[in-house]
Amino acid sequence: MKNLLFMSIFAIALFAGGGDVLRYQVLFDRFELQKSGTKVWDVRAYVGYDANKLYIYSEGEDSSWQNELVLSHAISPFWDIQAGIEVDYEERSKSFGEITLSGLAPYWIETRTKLLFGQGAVGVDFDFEYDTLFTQRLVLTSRIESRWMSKSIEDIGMGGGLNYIETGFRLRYEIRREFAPYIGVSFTKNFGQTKQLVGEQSESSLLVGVRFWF
Amino acid sequence: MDRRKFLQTSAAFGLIAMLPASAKEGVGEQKPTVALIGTQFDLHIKKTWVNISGKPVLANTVNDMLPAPTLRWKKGDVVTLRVTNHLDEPTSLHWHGIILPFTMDGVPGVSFPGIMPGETFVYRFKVQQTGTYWYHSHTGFQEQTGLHGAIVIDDDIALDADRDYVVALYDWSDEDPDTIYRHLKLQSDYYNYHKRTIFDFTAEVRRWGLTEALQRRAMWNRMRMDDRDIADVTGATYTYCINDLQKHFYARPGEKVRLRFINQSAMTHFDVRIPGHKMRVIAADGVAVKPVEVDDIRIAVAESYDVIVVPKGDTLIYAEDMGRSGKVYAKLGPSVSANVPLPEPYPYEPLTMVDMGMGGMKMRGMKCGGAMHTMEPALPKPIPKTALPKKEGIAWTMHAMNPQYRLDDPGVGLRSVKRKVLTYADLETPGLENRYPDREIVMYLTGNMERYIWAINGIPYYESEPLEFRYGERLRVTFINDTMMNHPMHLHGMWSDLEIGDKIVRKHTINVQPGSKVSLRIDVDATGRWVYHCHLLYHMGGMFREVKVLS
Repeated sequence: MKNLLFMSIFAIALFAGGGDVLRYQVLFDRFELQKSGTKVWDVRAYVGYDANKLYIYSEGEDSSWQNELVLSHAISPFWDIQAGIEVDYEERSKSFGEITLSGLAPYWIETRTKLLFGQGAVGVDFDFEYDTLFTQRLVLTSRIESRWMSKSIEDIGMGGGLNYIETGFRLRYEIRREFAPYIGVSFTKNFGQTKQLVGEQSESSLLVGVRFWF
Repeated sequence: MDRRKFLQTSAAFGLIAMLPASAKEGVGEQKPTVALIGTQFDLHIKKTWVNISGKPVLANTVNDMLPAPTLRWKKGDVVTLRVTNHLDEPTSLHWHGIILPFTMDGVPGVSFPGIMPGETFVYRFKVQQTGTYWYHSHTGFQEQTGLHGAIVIDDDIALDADRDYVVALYDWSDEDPDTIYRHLKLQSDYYNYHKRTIFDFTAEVRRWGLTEALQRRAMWNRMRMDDRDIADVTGATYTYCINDLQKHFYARPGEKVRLRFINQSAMTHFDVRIPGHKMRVIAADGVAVKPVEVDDIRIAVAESYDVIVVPKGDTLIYAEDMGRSGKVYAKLGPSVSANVPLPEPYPYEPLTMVDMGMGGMKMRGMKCGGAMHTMEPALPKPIPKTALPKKEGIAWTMHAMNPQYRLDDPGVGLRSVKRKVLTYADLETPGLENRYPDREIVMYLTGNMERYIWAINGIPYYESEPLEFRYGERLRVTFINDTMMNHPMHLHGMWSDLEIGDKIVRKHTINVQPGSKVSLRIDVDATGRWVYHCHLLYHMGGMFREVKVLS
């Protein structure tokens, strides 16, 4: 047993360390309270290696959320292709299959573009982020997210066509890389059938939160 | 909580006495680094309390010394080194730059199985060379935890020197190296606090106007390359050190002082100067060179330079890291209490298009900067090339479009310094026969900064086949650096004769600047299994090859 332990340490310790080690990260990219009282989270967590990772994404507010479980495979220096399922909840839950292109676009734009299929519909969802540094620790993240569905899924408040556009600006201060409180503002606008289903027109909100990872 | 942190915390609360005997047994206190002289050496690799950053932490040391004891050998002697492992993990010692049988080279898994906990391994070999070298663990990230020291083999250069000092430069972190590596893997700019801000851009707009400023940024932004990425690990976690935190090197004015600079860092290229004084470089990587007088020396990781300096009075040995995130200095002169003013740090320089491998090119009518460098050697007859496997993939982000021999380029951070900076172009090893190469291989140094992957020809070590050298051949190796980082490439067991035009300098570690190429020639005069790798500790996992010498 002892020898087995040594052998496994030995196998890892060959030559220099490093290389493609198993690793994980849990990132609370947004974890905030909006002025309206809405609590918002946007979490991603992975475990895996350079080329292949298992991701969990969870994004939501109070009583509605989207959770994803995807396998992610690196296809080029900056791009991963991801495949898995998304479960959306708003009073009821519905599942979709998804294929997603995730990665760093030219001009340092973090992107996720998602193709959803299920419930007799297809959808496209994108989420782009861009960081602007004011100082080495004061960072403004600009963000835009939107979704389009081919038809209405009324159970969970999704209309056919363009659902919504959400933009946000969050100014964080990195006390450590792992821990950054922020303030910000977000704007959401519902469109078309979604607007009829959900009823909201448009909404803007000041917010305060913390971005952290471990 | 890992073991190191546990011990640390326990000590803080006086709980060490409650630990099981095996845990505290053999944990020593740091002792001053001394020289061990002779042919028989007993080296004990063990845990030791050190205090470098201001709080006590555990290091791995040789005989409780950090740096490890200086080993003084004589050419022609057979040295015996009994190395005992008191750690609870395997270890090893590699004699960097030393010519020896491959079974004595100390690379676990290649030269030997490594030294298991509780075991003693006996290294024995004949010393065939002279000069300044060093040794370090070749296991995991242990080198970063304190297992590195100097080797001095008596030579006959500078025999008239009045004083002779080893100046070991290194980077210490209280963070566990596995944690550092994890940080780099999760966020490769984790330690970079010199990144571009919006105000850098507005300054450029003021300087060049909006259109040109945007054009200048376009290439970098499209390629997702960062011109502020000088070093992966910085003073944000590192404390830079000279010897065992030595603060004073004694010398009387007018004396000839030989300083043996050795860069024992894991990740840090140092820029070294002695304010107000010229340094006369007499050896590089242990080998005597035609003496050259300089003001500044950049010492890449794992390199060594021997210099002669004649102090006029009290001065400093002053070193700063290439990315200008920190410094370290010690007094040099007659007085320990002298108040010597610190020199101005050199300005921070970002990378340029030259570092992207576009030197001498024109983009949209704009010169990319940097003159054409003419360091091409005369190659009167073609050299047969052996093609190596290549893989375009996630480990190969950039292709240098016009990589050049930039041997006279002081490198990023020293280009604006209006003093004489040592470059490879200044070096020459006299009296060497420079045989014409029989064969050539080309290796692309590749990587992916976003994912923090390093490789050769797009293939990381763990997916690679060994390189094959042929015993007796003169092999030409050309490196093309397709990354934005410096890579100090080190071959075990054989010398590398770096081509500088038609002259050569003999080295064991050759720094390949970003976007550049170098060519070197190797007399394949050693049999067995060796390794060839980038000496940046956190690049070694991928930018690494085993070498098999076929007889």
